[in-house]
Amino acid sequence: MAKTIAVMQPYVFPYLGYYQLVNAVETFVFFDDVNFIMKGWINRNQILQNNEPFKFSIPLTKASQNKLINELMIADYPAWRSEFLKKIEQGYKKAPHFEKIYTWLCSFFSIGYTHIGELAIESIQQISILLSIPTTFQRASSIDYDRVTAQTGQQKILNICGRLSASSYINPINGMDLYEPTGFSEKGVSLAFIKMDAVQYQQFGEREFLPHLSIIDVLMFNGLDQTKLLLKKYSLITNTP
Amino acid sequence: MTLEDILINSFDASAADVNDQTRLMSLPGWDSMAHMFFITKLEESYEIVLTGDEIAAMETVGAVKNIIISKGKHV
Repeated sequence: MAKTIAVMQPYVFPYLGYYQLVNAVETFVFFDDVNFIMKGWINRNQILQNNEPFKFSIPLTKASQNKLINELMIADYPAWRSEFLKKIEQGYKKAPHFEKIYTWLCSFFSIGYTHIGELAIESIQQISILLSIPTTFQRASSIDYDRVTAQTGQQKILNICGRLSASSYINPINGMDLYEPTGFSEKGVSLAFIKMDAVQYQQFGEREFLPHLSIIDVLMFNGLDQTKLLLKKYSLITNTP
Repeated sequence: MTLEDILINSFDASAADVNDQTRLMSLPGWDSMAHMFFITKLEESYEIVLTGDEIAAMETVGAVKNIIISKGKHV
C-alpha cells in the first residue's frame, strides 16, 4: 500500500510551509535524534512586533551542536512564557483573530514544557489538531532504524522510509540539492519536493507583506478556516533520475 | 456546573481522574483545543475573565482552583 512520509527536525511554531508539508503526507516523522542546529529554527522564529518582524528565541540550557534535539532543556520556562505571551499580545492585539488564537496559545503554554524538542513537536502537533490535519506523527527517536552505519542525512531518511514501508518521500524544496533521486528510486521510494505558492494575506496597514513569519502570524490574520485553505497552496515537484 | 463537571465534560474524564494534583494534559481528552474550550466554559460558568498569564498557569486542577478563588469565587 502506498504510503507517503516526510522527515523533518521539529521547529517551534514554524512557517505555513512546514504545516503544508505535514498536511501533504500520511505520516510525519520528527527528526528529533539528530544534532541541534545553533541559530536554526528549532528554538526560534519570527512574529510581528510594532508591525516589524521580530525574531523570538527560547532560551536553552547549555545549548550545543554536539547535543541531540531531544536532549536540550529550556532555561526558565515560566519567565520566557510570560514574556512571550506579552509580546504576542502587544504585537497582535488588533489582529482580526487575536482573541481566539491568543486564548489557544495561552492554553498551549499551560503545559510545563521542560525540553525544547517537546515544545517544538507539540507546537506542530497541536496546531495540526487545530487545523484538522489528519496526519499521523512519529518520532525518529522511537523508530528502530539503522542510524549507526548511515553516513548521510539521505541514508538515514532512506532507512526510516524502509522501516515505515514508505513508497513516497516529500521534502521541502530548499533541500533539492541535498538528495540524490537515484538513491531513492533504487529503494523503491519516489521523491518529491514541496514548494509553497507565493501566499500573501492582509497584515496590518498598507505596508508591504512580510512573508515567512511563524504560523502564529498566519492564524492571527486568517483565522482557522482561511488558514485551512492556505494549507493547500503549494505544488509538488517530482525529481526522477 | 461545578469545576469537576466542567473538567469531565471538557476532557472526557471521569470523576476518578480528577484531584488537585491532576495535570490537565494527563486527562484522556486533553489537547490544546479542548483546553481552550475548557477556558471558555470556565469563564462562562464562573463569570470571570482570565488573563493570558492565568490561563498559561493552569497546569493542574489545583492551580485552576487557586485562580478561581483568587477572583473571589467559590469552587
